[in-house]
Amino acid sequence: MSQYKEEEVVEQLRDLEKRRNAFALVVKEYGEKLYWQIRKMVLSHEDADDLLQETFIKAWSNIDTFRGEAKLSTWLYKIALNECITFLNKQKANQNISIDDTDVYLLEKLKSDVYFDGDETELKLQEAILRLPEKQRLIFNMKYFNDMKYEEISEVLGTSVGALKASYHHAVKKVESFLTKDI
Amino acid sequence: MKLDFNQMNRIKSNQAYKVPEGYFENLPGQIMSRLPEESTGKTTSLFQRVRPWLYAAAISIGLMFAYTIFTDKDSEDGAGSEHSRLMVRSNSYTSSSHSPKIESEEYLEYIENVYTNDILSDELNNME
Repeated sequence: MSQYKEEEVVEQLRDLEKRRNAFALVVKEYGEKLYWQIRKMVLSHEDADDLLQETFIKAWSNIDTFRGEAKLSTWLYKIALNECITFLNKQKANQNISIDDTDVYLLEKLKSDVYFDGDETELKLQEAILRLPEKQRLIFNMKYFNDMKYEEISEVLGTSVGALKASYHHAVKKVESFLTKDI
Repeated sequence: MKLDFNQMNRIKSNQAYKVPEGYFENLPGQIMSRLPEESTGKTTSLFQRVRPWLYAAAISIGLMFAYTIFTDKDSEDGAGSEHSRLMVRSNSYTSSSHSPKIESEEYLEYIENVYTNDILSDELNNME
């Protein structure tokens, strides 16, 4: 099995004749990782699938704007994040959901999702995370679920590393507090 | 009571979240089939394809136009070329500070040359 080499792939993406094949390698390399990042944001498999496809279509349409200064994964993740945020905002507007009730709406959706196999405790953890403010939730997801370094998160969100560390620390405290309060 | 280590790991490793059978295996094919042919995602219009040629044509026309304006008007035939050169020179010097003496001297000389035969024939007739 040939190993994915980012430098070579980025070079091929600049060549119109090789671009399509190179992009297929990108999808193969980052598809699953991006999916899970999106899924943690929107929770539903169907929504995550739609957004993942939109992310790659958008990346393809804008491939000429990728200058190679950042990692390809960072660039793709930024696109995915924007798609998620746009989607969630649209969902709120369409469903007439207030910002305070977003977590309730998403949680109810998660409970009825056939592709969620979590038990009560796992549902509770997800509820705790959903209660976090949107940006803090993003940071928590990226750090806790995706094991991203603070520097990488900083590149994606445009927030300083110090602020990210503080935000994640508070997020963890809130989640722990929520999980233990009813017991 | 906090979540135990296994529960946290199960959530962290996405085990609580399922995907349809073969989803990730089919993913590249599904996405690639949705991509437009051109990477810009936009169809190239006829104008966009012809545009470079239009630019080249416009530049060529501009250069030709500039050339005809700034080069000497030697396009007239040889018989009147000397006269036309003198006329051009006289026109271009009308408002200049160049000495009118040179212009008129040259012009008189030219006129003399043109009409020499006529002048001589008149004189000859007078002598007879």
